[in-house]
This record gives sequence, structure tokens and C-alpha cells, in this order.
Amino acid sequence: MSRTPSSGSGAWAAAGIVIAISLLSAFTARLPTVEPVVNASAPVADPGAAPAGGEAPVAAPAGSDGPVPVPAGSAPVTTVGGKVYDCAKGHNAGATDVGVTAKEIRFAATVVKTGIAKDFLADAQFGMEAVRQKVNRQGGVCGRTIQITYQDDGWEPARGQRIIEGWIQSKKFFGLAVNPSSEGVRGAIDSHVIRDAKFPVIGSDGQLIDQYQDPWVWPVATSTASVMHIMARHAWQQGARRFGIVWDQNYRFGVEGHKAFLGSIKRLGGTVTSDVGVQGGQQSYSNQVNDFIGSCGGTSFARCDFVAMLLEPATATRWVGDGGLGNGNQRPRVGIGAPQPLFVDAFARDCGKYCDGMLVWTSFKPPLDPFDKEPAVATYLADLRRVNSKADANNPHVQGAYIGMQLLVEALTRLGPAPTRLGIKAVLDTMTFETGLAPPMRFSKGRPQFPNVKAQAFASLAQTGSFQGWRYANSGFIDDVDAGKDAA
Amino acid sequence: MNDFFVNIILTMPLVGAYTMFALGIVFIYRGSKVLNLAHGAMAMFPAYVAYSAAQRTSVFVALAVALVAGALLGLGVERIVVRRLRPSGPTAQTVGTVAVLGLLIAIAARLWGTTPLLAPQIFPKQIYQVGNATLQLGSVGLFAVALAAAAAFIALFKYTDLGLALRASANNPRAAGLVGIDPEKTTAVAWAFAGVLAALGGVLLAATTNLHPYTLSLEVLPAFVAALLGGLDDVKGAVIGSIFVGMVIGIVPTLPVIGSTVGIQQAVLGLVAVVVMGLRGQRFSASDVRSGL
Repeated sequence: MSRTPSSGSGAWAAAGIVIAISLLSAFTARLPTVEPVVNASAPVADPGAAPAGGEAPVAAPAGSDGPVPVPAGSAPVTTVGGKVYDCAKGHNAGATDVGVTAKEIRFAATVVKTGIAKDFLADAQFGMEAVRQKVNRQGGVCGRTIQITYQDDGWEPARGQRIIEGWIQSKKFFGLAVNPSSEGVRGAIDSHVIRDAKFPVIGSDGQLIDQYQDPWVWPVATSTASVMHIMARHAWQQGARRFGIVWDQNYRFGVEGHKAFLGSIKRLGGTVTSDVGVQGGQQSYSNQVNDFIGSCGGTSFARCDFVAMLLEPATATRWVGDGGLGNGNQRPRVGIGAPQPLFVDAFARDCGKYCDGMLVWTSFKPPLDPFDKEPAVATYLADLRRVNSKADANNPHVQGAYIGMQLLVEALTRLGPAPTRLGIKAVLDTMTFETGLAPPMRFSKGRPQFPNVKAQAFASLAQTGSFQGWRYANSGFIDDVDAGKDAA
Repeated sequence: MNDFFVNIILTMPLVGAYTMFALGIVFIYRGSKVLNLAHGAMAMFPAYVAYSAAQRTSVFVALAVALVAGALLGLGVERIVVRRLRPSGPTAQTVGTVAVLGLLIAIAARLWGTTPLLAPQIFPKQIYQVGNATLQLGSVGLFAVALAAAAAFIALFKYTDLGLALRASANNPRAAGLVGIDPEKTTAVAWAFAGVLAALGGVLLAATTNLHPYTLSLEVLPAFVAALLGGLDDVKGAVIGSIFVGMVIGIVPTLPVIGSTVGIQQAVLGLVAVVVMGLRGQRFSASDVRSGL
């Protein structure tokens, strides 16, 4: 049978495609998606939320819609070219910098609505909107409303970088507000796009170390590396000497967290008996689970006193489903720990009895006992519920987005009627920021800076196999005494 | 149990899934000489149909509905895209299937959203301890169904007139026409069968993972390598290729030293694919090699 030339060349072209696909399949979970603009400056839709002007589904505590606190040392009056501008009298200086007009100040942010990280990052936008909408209801900052353009980058660094470069070149935006996509902003930070354009990134989630090193980024949360330091030391103090860790090697948070965990164990004098890196998004981890649990001495965890799970929720669910935390009846002697991405209600529900007693860490005070009665925490919850009744309020990334926006508003408020990028950098670089939702943060001019290196733990509780909620582990906020070490 | 054998057993879900998909790819290539890059989406879409149907009826009726949807989808893709592009050659047809891939993902994302959904369970929720890990009954079922499907397709191609007609019309449509075979019909039948196979694989795989328009569509990528290793038009080769790909993806990360290297599975698969193609020389599929001898 003869082979026609056309089918031969077609087949070779197709073969090339297949090989390219097979190599690219390592990154399938990060492939770009088809959703371009998620929301441009519009309020976030929530089917469960009250209509505009209607009653919020959860009653806001008294004062929850009160004025955004104006910090001491604010500068509501500015003189420019002999003219006096006074925020109190509604006079601002108009278009003082890129993205600023007399009526609004425009920000942008890449968010994660698709891809592997959406399980813990998708709701962060609601945390941002809770502050933005509240501030705008009160007339904005010095007469300017805050507008934010959101775009999904799927937690993909190259895509995030492209989007952010586009925003910078458009000269329509003052800076990035929070930017919940840590991988997206990583692309822009690592390629020096942010610092070269002097494009401020205010209130980011601090998940990755590079956010602490760029002079134009001000993170509010504790980095994954710091949380892993704290987690290792805490487990050590509880008596753990032999450790196991499973981590996502596809994403930077996994790589940095893994390095930090190993560094801590080495400094403490412990042993890592089981260490398995996985690629997030795979359909089965049975073989790696067999390897991991085998190194830990089987499902009794005889050779692992403590196991750290450094994965995003979807991968962690798959890992647990394949037996990665054993049979659910026996656990590591000291316990299981996980950083912020697994402090998510939906994951804890999926994990059920396997995660019973697992400690998850946050750098904030979530609306859980005993913090839920504190005024700042109650206000956070009410503000969030007003925007979205179903958003996961305990999720540190949602709360971090709220706090990040509070930082942005406070910096703008201090800046007064004539905001500029250089001006906001000067304000932020000398700012002490206290919200009542986290330990006080002190920013500084030098880099790297670590405004927040504390974390506290909550335990996942399961009864009869089902997740019942989170319980405070009474850890208090623990300092990362090794902050800055083990940088990837 | 010896750890090596445990690891082999634990690759069953991967081998089963890749076999299901590789068989569909082979079936279409054998029936129409087109590399169907939309195969993953053709698995994903009926899985969503099964999800919607299962809200209203029993799981098995939902499965039947999904299989019918898969067949119709296969027919539709063949009639609307592949047949129209035939005059432009197989490269254009292959590129046409890429367009179908994007379109189906976009439609599914629009209809069902991008939040992962819990797919209907075809097999009971039973878990087996294998070594230090666990296997779901659904994964074992996927493997068993894949083997059964492979046996059925080998028999179909080897012992039935339909199989003979499919091979004849794909290899030489003009000659097949002269002996009374309608190449248009056999190609359509190949696409319908492949659609059913993709649907079955999609529903069973979604039951052990979850439903998501992007990730489920992309689960099929390693199956292309499996089909290519197997010769692209060889059913037995596709099964062997799937076993190899499943083993690489499952076992390589557990190997000492190289196992923790990022992307090691893909590197090994890509390298093996290049070597296999190099050994085959100018010929692409197994039949090309045989016919060239």
C-alpha cells in the first residue's frame, strides 16, 4: 500500500504537534484560559447578596459602614503652585498623576478565576470589593472614587506579566491594588517591569518572597516561606523530630515553602524522612503517595512525627483521596500542617476525617472564635457579606485582600488631595499600619522588608467523618525568627 | 508486596484513562487519517451531558445519554469540520480539530461554568488499600473498561466486515469505493465510534476526578503520546503505548535522584517519542512502516 505525499507531510506536522503537546503537558494546569476581562470597575455580582439599596443579608454591626478611619498624621491639605487644596472642603488637585482625575483614581489587578489556584484565590476579589465599595459609598478618598479593573490571569506568571505590562503601557492606571494573583504579579516583579515603570503594587498577599524585595511592592501577609518556618518550629516545640513534606513543584509558593521548611528542619536539628514533590493538576498521585507514606513508615506514620502539606486545594484533595494522609484513622504523632492556601472551607469539607486536627496557618484574625467578637473582625465580616454572602470569610487570601485594600485607602488618605506615585511610595515606606485584623505592620524604605512575619494556627475539626469547622489552636501570633533565610 | 509491583498496580488508573483516549485517537486515525486534537474536549463535553442528565434520571441512563451525545458529537465534528477540510489535506483537518477543541471548551465553560463539579459516580464509592496508597473502585473500573474496549476494538478491526471496510477506506478510498465501500460512511462511523469511546472515557475519568472544562479536556494529552508510540493506527500498539505512558507518569516521579526533577515525566515521554519517530524514519504510523517494506 502506498503512502501519499500529502498524508506523509500532514502526519509529520501532526507528529510535531503531538511532541510539542507532550512536552507542554507539564504545564497544562497553567494553560491560559478564554475569559478575558472578569469585571471592569463594576460591583461584584452575588446572587445571594441584597440588591443595591436593599438590606444586606447579614446585618452589619453598628458602625460597619462608618467612615474609613483617617489615620493620625494624614495630610488633607496640600499647596500646589500657590493653590491650596483641601480634602475637607472637597477640593482636590485633579489629575495629579497617571490614572488620577478629580473624580476617580484608577487601579488594576490580576485575579484568579480559572486554573488550579482559583479554589483559594477566586474569592479574594470580594475582599477587595468590600473595601472599595464601602469607600466609594462614602464619596471616595478626597473626592475621588476608587475604580479597579480586574482581569483573570489563571495564576500564570507570563500571562500576568503581559496583562500588567499592557496596563502600564496604557497609562490609564495609577498602580495595582492588592493583585490577588501572586504568580501573575511574580512575572512582572521578576522581570523588573514593576520597578522600571515605578508602578506601585499596594497590599499584595505576600505569598512569594519577591514581593518583599521589590521597592514598589507593599505586601500585607506573611510569606509562605515564613509560615513554613513557623510551622516547622511549632511542630518541633510539640516534640516532632522526624518530618515529612509533600509540596507542589510546579509553582513558586511550593518551591519557596519547601526550601524554607527544609532549612528550618536543618537548623533545628531534625530529620526529613519523607520528601515528595508533585506536579499540581495530575489525575492520580497513587505512586507518589505509596512512596511518601512508605518513607513515613506506612499508614501508622511510625517514621514521620509531623507531615506538612504544601499544596493548593485541588491537588491536596487528589493527594488525600489517593491515601496521602493515610487511612484517616492513624495520624502522625504530632500532626499535620498546611499554609494559607489550605485554610479554605471547601477543601476542609472535601478532606473530612483525613484532615481532622490538621493545623492551618494565617497571618490574620479570621472571623472565628475568639476573634469574631472583636469590632474590626466583625466589621470585616459584615463588609464582606454585603458584597458576597457566600465568600469564604476565613480564607486568609480573602481577608488579606480586604486588609490590602485598607492599606491602599489609608495610604491615599494620608497622601491627601494630590496623589502621585512617588508620593504614595514615600508614605508607604514609612508607614505603620494597624487594622485590628492583623499584628501591626511596619513598612520601611529598605528591601527586603518584612512588615508581617507572624502567623497563628487553627485546627480543622471533623466528627463522624465530616468537617465541622475550625478551632483556634491557641498558638498566638508566632514570629518567624528566620525571616529572610532560605530565599529561593 | 514488592514495592515495584505495588507501583505497577497503582498506575492502573493512569493506564486505563490513557488507553481509553488512545484507542479513540487510533480509531479516528485509522478511519480517516486525521489526528483528532479535539479528542479531550469530545470526552469532556459528554461527561457534562451525563452530569446534567444525572440530575434528572439514573446514573446509567445518564451514561447512555452521554454515549449517544458522544456519537452525535463525533458525527457532527466529522460532517461539519473534517469532511469539509478534506480537500485541503490532513494538516488542515488536524488544525480544524484544534478549533473544535477551543469551541467545545468555550461552550462547556459558558453552559456549566468553570467551577469544578462532582461528576456522577458510575461505580460504588469503594476504596482499596494497595501498598501504602489507595485505589478507588472507579479507577479500577476505568482500567477494566479500557481493557474490555481494547479487546472489542481489536476484534472489530480483525474479524468484522466493518473493521475491514474502515481500514480499506482509510488506506485507499478510491480502491475501497471500487469494491462497493462508501468511504464517507465508514469515516462517519469511525468518528461516531470514537465519540462513544471518548464519552465513555470522559464519564469514567470525571467520576474519579471531577468535572472541569479545561483540565478534563487536557487530560488526554499524554494519550496522544501513547497513540504515537503505538504507531497511531495500531490498537495493540496504543494499549502498549498507554501502559508505557502510564508507567512513566506514575513511576518516574518515585525514582530516586531524578524523580524530584520538575517536568521529568514530560521530558522522558518527549524523548521516547522522538526516539521512536526517529527509528521509524520517514514513516509516521505503523501501517506506513509495514507498507514501505
